[in-house]
Amino acid sequence: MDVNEGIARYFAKYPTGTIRGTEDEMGLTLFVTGSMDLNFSQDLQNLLSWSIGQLEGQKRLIIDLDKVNYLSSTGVGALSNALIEARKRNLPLFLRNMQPRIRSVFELLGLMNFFDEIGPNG
Amino acid sequence: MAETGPREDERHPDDLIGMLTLSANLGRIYAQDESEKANISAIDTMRHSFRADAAALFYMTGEKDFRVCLAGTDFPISLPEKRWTLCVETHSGDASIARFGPWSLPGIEKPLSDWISARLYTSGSSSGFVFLGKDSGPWTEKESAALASIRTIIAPIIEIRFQRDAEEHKRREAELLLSRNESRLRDLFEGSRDMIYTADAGDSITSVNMSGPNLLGYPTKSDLIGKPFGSFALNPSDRSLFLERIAKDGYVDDYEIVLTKRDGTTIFCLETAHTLKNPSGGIRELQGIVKDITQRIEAERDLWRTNLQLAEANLKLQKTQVLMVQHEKLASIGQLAAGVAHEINNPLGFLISNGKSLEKYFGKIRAAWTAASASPDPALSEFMVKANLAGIFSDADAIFAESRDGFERIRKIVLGLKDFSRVDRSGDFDSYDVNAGIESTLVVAWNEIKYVSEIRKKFGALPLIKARGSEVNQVLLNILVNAAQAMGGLGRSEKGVIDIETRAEADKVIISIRDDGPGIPENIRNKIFDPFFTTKEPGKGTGLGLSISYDIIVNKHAGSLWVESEPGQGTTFYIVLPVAGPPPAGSDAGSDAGTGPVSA
Repeated sequence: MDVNEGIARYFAKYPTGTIRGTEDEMGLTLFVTGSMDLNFSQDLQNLLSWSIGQLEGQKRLIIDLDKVNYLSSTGVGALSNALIEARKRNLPLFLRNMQPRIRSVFELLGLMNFFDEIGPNG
Repeated sequence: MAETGPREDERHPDDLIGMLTLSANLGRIYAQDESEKANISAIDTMRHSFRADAAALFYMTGEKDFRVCLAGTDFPISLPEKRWTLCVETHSGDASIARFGPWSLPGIEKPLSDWISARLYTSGSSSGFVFLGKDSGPWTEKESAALASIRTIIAPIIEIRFQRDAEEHKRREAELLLSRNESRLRDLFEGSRDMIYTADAGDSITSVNMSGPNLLGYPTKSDLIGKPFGSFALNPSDRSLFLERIAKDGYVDDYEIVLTKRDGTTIFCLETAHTLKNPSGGIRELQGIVKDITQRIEAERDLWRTNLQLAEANLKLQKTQVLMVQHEKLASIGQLAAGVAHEINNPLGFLISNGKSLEKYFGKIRAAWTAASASPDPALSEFMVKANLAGIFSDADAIFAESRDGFERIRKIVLGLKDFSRVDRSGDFDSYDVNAGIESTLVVAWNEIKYVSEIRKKFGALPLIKARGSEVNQVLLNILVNAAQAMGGLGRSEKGVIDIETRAEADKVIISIRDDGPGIPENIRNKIFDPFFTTKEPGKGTGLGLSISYDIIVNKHAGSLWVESEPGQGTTFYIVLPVAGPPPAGSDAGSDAGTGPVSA
């Protein structure tokens, strides 16, 4: 799977946000930067769906949110829908490096306990 | 107003002094009274001076009202436009002075024979007129000239008054329009159910509608005014990002932000705002509308939560299903093994008994040979040497002993297999001898264990317990085989040791199985009972064994199963089983003991 091909295919260029992906033998990591607003999040959802479909077997998907500075409700939806698909396929999905203000939104919505987190070096 | 005739010494206006006096009077009247009623006084004075029987002043107000003031009355009269126009048309032609008659004033029956009228001014399409009428004879040229002169004097006054009135009217109308517009905008601002606010360049709120304090749970606007907007945000850095964006683009559309109410609860809000810039380009004012979208967000959240819960439940269900299938498989394997064992048992039976018979017969033959060896017949001796009967008899003992041993081993294995799967008992809870169960499991597992480990047993005196023996044996087998495989993976030249201990304590039986293998690292120790968790290579284990074992001991038998381990020092599994078995169905433990035949 070429993650950058997927990013180019599913992702328009946004002035306020970007996505970068790296693959290794454990799976795929997607680094999200900037604003997860409405349009960005819709594209992100498509990209995540495609990525989950491409990952074989027990390979894991990590979504790194270290550089996310804004999370819209559509962004929360994109991540939730990705998790639902991952669970259906019994694929491990982890969030990483959530900033406190991003985490607080998930906690307010009572969704935090559905997600698994992985440490910065995991 | 009382009517008085002219005094004798009052001069007629056709006389210069009289004209000046009339002019001065009219000037004084109009200077003193700015209202419309001045026209009444004026026309009264005119009638008086000209000694007319009737006089009327036709004019228009600034509001385009058509009026007439009749001398001798108290108030101006409004006429419909048509009637007014009809009256003034009698002043015909372009001349400023007209003479006509007989004619009567509107509303007055009595016509007068001679009239004289003067057009006072023209404004647009309208004019003002003064009409004088009398019955005592035609108006003279002098009187006509006098009227013309008076007209010249007062026309400008009347015109100015008319224009001023018209302007005043326009001004009042414009003010009214402005005030209505202002009201409408104010209603829009105040009445909006969304919060509308303005803030200065430092993001302090400068004005807000009532929806603002309502949204945030404050009683009055002054609770918000003067405060920084960011102080109402759950994360002030969210507001900082907003301000960065609006400074750059001049506006922000649909920005989601979480705000905190006075009581500490949070609301999800959506804001659209723009800035007014000052000439230098800096922000003069920020104007925004904030909408409460909490309900919408909560509805979406409920949807996500439900779907997530469903997905997790689904996954659990899948795993449970696999577990159950695995249970079934193991149960059938057990049955299969028992069946095979049973099949072997039969031929084994007559092998053993035939062996015994053979040994007995051989004994007899040996006795005969011994007796025959004693006889010194040389032909017999030669034959016996050739046949190597001595060698045969010497080997025979060893052969019979080995065979007996072999049969015994097979018998033990078959017995162990049958006992292990206990298929001759019902699948329900029964009396189970833990120590015997361990022994039969060792028989089955021996092939895995014998190359890598010794077994040391320390069995206490145990009561029989209520359990499903075949299931408990499965658990023991699983743990023993895991231990043996872990130890085998170390590749040591010497065999390790597996210590098995059992003891009774109060109403429980405690089993411990300790190996001196590699141990289990801490970070996976609490995962080993998870379904599908395995450290073996793909294809070398399903990762289900310990999860099934856990299910059997904890859920089915109301027991406990846990592990203690130190990497490099080995692993100990502890199994605790209640002597009385699990509590009956319907009570807390939720197992299904005693509810009739139930498959595993």
